[in-house]
Amino acid sequence: MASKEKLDEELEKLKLEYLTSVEEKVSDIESTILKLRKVSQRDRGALFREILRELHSIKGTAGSYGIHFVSKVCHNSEDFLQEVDIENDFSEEHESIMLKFIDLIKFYASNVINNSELNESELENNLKSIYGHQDNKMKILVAEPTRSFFNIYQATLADFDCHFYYTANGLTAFERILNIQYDFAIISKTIDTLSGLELIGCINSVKSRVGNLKTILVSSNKLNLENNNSKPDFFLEKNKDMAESLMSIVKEHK
Amino acid sequence: MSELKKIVMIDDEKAIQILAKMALEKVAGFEVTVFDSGAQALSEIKNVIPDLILLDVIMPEMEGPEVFVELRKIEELNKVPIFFMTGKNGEDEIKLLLATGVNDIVNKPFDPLKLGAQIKEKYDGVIGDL
Repeated sequence: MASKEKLDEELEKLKLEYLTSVEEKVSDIESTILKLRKVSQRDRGALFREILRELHSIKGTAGSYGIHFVSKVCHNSEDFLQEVDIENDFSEEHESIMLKFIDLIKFYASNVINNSELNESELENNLKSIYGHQDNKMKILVAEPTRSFFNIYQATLADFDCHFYYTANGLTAFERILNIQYDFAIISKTIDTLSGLELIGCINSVKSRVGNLKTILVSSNKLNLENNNSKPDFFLEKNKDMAESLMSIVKEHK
Repeated sequence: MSELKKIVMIDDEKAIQILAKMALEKVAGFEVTVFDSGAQALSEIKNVIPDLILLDVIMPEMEGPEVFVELRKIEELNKVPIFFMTGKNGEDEIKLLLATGVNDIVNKPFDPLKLGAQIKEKYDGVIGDL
């Protein structure tokens, strides 16, 4: 077996070779991103899956090579792609955000390859500034089994200046809530892996970690949630007054 | 108890192949054969018959779980443990992968200096149970 010094030297060499290949890989991803707004909805779906697959692969491999910053950028860009409705709505702004992620990976790789000094906190700040932290818009997470209600909430709250994030999965919603500071979480009673009530129970149990997040539970039936650990901040019944009630909750409590 | 010496790794990602091969051969002293795809592994693995198979989950054409089913049909590999290697580390995803009947899971990213020891520990646990 090889000595520790020899292994470290070999690992460093492999890392540089890998970063060179990452530069090529992200250039390919960049070309695919630039195609997204020019192709049909169906083709966009296939390209989107290809981009996600490549980013996921770089994330895992870069992590194994100890290149954690590249891994983190890929992770953030994957999250971003999961949050926007790529197939139906991939705007110029979305394209620009994705290209910024790619540029940051290229910048990092090229500097490491050329042995240039990198300022880690500056890199972290650059990463944070790309998405979700650059403005003071409200952030609203919607956990709904289908996109139709997500679209309704977006349309209802169109006059408010906010970013919307979507998931159909209760566990994913909880994970995001623990990591991202949302202003509101609109939660359907019937979502996968964790039901709406279970999700709110989880959120209530870590209230000190979720800042000023306000939960809105949505259901077709009236529920008695008094003295319940899963009591939401607001309850919204799916009826003719739903849109108006949602607007007034957000207006009064933003 | 069978000692872990020969490992077959099935992964389409060249950079992972190179790193894992270095980690398992130079750091841990195993003998590693790499296949780029499930199809290649299925046609050539009988020439190797390893003590352990490391199988990537996300691959083009045939994905890991599909390759796993086909590998389990090969009589000579009946008692060879198969571990999935995956970057999907969510609890639900791991549960789904284990439900296929695979012997264990190795997470990506991995630490190349610790991968060999990690795999040996899992292997000894599995062989002890067989």
